[in-house]
Amino acid sequence: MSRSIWKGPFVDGHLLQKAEVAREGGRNDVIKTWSRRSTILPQFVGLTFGVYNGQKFIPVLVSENMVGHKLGEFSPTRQYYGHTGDRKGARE
Amino acid sequence: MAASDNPVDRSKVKVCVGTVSGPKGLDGSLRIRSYTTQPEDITSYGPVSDKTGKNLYDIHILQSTKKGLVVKISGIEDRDAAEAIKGLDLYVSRGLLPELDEGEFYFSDLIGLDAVNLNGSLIGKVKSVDNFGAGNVMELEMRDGNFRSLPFSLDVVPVVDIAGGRVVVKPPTELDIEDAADAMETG
Repeated sequence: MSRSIWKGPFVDGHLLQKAEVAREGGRNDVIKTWSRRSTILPQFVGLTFGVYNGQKFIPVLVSENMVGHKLGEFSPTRQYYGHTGDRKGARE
Repeated sequence: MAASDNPVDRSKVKVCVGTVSGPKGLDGSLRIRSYTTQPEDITSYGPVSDKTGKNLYDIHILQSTKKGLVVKISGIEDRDAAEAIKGLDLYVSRGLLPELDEGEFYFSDLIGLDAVNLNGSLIGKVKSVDNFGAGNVMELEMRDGNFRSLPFSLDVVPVVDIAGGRVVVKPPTELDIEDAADAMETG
């Protein structure tokens, strides 16, 4: 059963506080958080969170299409070092 | 401690593009697990080889399934022959991969590079580069044996020198819960 709309999205209060500070500072900090359950809000877009996966903080750069998902979805708890094949990427 | 002075010649490096999972049927067909971005691209770099490069295999894709590709490999004509190469890693030469656009990197080129700080001192090695859906993430194995994940961005990794075998890393400051509380109090 999905969450009632009248409640609004769930976000931990301390995470909102941290995000606000980071946004005001305008710096490119990584916001450390253990709150994997928090929903990604539109005001988080552009911020980088370090989301704890039980061992370390995985950097999560929030983009528009991640809004509505939970932070934990982008910080896998199981690490698999497979072959990279022809995968490529650029620095953002 | 300085970064290593003997960078690897990357053009001679072999890149693993797949693994033989096992036989499929009796006619020598095989299941393979492809590591390329599009699984069918495993055939686009010409014949693949084993790690030594002595044995070459021509791959012909029969079917693409959830469990991997079903293929025919030249010289494998029955199930026994297919069983014999179960678990074999399939490689192509790094030089056969397509040219990259400006600013792009193959993840396989980055793995194993020395990570140095802005002063040039060695802080660790690149263990892996991944993308979990929220930007590219570079994992470093630090000198003390711990692992640290950093965003693979221009701010954090300003220099990637593959020929020199190193990346320059400027770790970002981490905003912790106490910092946020202090900042809110001071306004």
